[in-house]
Amino acid sequence: MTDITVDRLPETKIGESYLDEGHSLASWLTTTDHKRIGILYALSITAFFFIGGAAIGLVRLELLEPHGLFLTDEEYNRLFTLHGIIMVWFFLVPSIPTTFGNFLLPMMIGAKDVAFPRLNLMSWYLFVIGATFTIITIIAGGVDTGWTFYTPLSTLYANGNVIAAAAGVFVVGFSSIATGINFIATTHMLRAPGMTWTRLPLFVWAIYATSVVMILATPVLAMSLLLVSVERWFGVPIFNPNNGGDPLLFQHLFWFYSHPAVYIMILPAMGVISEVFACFARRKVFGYTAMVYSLMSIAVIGFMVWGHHMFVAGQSPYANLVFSFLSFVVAVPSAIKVFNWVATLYGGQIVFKAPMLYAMGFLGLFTVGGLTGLFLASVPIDIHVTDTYFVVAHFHFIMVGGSVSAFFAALHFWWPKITGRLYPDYWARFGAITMFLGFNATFLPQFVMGYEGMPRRYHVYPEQFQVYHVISTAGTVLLAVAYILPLLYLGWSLLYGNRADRNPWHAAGLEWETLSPPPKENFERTPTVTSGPYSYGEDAEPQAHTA
Amino acid sequence: MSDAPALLHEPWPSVERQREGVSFGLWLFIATEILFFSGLFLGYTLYRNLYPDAFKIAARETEVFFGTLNTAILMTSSLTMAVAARGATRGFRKMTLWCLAVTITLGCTFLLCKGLEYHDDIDNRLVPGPDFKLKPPETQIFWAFYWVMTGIHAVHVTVGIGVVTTVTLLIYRRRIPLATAAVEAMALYWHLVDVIWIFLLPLLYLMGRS
Amino acid sequence: MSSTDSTQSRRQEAFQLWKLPVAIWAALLILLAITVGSAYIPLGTFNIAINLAVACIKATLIALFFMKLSRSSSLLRLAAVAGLFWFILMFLLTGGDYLTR
Repeated sequence: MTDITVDRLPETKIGESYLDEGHSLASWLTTTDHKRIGILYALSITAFFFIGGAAIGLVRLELLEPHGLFLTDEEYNRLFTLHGIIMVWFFLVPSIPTTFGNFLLPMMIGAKDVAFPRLNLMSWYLFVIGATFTIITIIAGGVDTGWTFYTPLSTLYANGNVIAAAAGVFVVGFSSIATGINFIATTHMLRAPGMTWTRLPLFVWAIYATSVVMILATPVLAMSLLLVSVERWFGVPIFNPNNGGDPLLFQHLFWFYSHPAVYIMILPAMGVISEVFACFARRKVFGYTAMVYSLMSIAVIGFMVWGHHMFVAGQSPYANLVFSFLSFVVAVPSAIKVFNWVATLYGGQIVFKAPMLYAMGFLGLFTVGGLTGLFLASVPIDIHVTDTYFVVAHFHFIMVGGSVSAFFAALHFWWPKITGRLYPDYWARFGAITMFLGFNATFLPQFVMGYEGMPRRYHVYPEQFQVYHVISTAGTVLLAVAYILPLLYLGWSLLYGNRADRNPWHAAGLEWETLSPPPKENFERTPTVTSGPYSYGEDAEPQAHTA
Repeated sequence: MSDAPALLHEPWPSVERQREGVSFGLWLFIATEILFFSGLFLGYTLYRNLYPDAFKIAARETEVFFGTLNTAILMTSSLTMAVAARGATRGFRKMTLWCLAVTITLGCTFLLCKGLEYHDDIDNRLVPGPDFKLKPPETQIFWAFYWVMTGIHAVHVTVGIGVVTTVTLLIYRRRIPLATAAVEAMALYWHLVDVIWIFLLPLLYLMGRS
Repeated sequence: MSSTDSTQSRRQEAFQLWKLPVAIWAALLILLAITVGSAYIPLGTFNIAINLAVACIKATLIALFFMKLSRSSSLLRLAAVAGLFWFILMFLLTGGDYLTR
């Protein structure tokens, strides 16, 4: 016989914690363990997050005075571009999927690792190299196009390293695609015995839906950035109006990626929230099937709404109508999710631990962000508030109020599992409340001034808006405190925190049945799953037993 | 058999499952590639619809001879690649290696022809810019797409040649087993590159000939 | 089984291996001849229609037989169809804008 035999790998002996598999730097940089790669991602996106945060801190400081405080026009443009590019591509898009998705997805489905472990490591290297390259080029040479790279500004007029910055984002895109392929293949091929599709935790469904968006949207971004670079470099006319080219084509391609990218940011957050609510309300998630269908339909319909970014750009009025309608449609599954979360909480025995506070913050902020999204989906209102702070406030409610809150909820929920340590809950709750207050102080005034006409991307403005800008900047300080605080108490817990047992929250789910921190192979034996997720309540039984 | 390089890798439970998984992963990548090229095809279609006459004038200047020859070369390389993928799973070591070698050679021939064609195009002042030969200005859009589409395709062929050469050498030196899922995976990729060219042929070479 | 017999059957198997791919390859070359030939006959809009139709047939042949979609699991086909579906989505919605401007 040739070598196509079904030879089984020998049963590996249960090892120590994945953290003790090697302490050298090389053991981390060459690892193919999904848990360690998750940690590598977590460290890198944290660094990028604070660089992006520093950039916007300077921007907010500049906006204290109507005539600007200390920046030139050029510097201001470069700072908000730096903030946008870092936060969108190097923090929000990879945030939850590459850290918690990498760490938890294989464990939640009872697998030893992701489908293609080496690809997973390569994807981290692409990410770090691309992102670092872009950040260096922006800081050293400057890019002032905004994160959207609109033509013809980016191709004909902008100063600075547009091509280099775009190249870095292009490389990071490959990382996104590789991660998406890995997660989809893992979910399809490596589920433990008995782990049927209807028994998957909603977090797994959310990461799956996100991955679908990643692999189908990201290549279009890659192409649009490539075309911008080619046109800028060689003067080959593709979007150049002087040769009959159409800048709107760029916007179509760009938003074909960048609107679904918003769902790349928010779908994993929705998955996290479902897990956290079920655990701290001690209830099964209300309407599991509806939750799954709404995740998947957001992923699909999310691809059909991009034109709402172009209502005033010269798109045909008929296309405006269609995109407006579809944008209302995509709100329906999001609303279903919000109602189901509320129904999950209703009648539950709610425990106000830190992850729950972050999750509840998500619920309120995401709802406001989503509802203001409906304002923007309606053409007449959008025409009024296009390119104002209203839009800025809206998408920050979704991306920061939604995604970042959920990121922190996930961080506090799974921290004991990931590190094996407990953090001081008092400080964590304090951080959660500070973040909620700081966020609202920063962004609620922006709705008001945007509605009154304050345009985005200007650092000189009429004096009537100053009061809102001052409140907003003050809120930013509070927000900064809320972001730095976890570094301190989580760092403290690594050294002095109490050891966590397998399941400190008494949560359901396969990841809680193994050690904290988990061994390299994740489980002592491959688990066999016998019931659905979220078995909370008095008749709760462990979800799996080791056969 | 025991000292042969391992066919099964973590975290897969069985070789069959792993093979299916690798093919699935590659198909997901193909979906990605379709969307990658869709931006180009979309742009081409919209501009052709806006400027049909300019596109016909411009398309007449491409070299059908090279376009057709290269199509035939790629199709033949797809044939040898398909046979290699079938032979590898059935243990035809020698035949598989020969087929892969022919595939690599044909891939290089394709690039050579492409290079000769590019040389002619540059000589004919068909690079968009101030020196461009044709009028009206919209013809430059066609040629912009010509260069970008064929250029990106050529990059794909080059990557393909690199991957196929590496895997072939590894199999030849018995560093990885003949039945590795990598052969099937790179065959899928190679066929995809062929399919993309098949659509470039009518758009870039056959338009405006009648 | 004697060694000559097994060599014989291996030859047979190798021949079988080539049969289908060569048939597909021949079909592809014939289609190539058709598409290049028809391009020089003035047929108006039908030229591009024929050329694209032939391209689609060629792509389908390669996908089904070289890429083995005809024998693949539905999972693999789903991935292929997803790519096409999103491709069409992009054309429909963007094309809709350009055609109604």
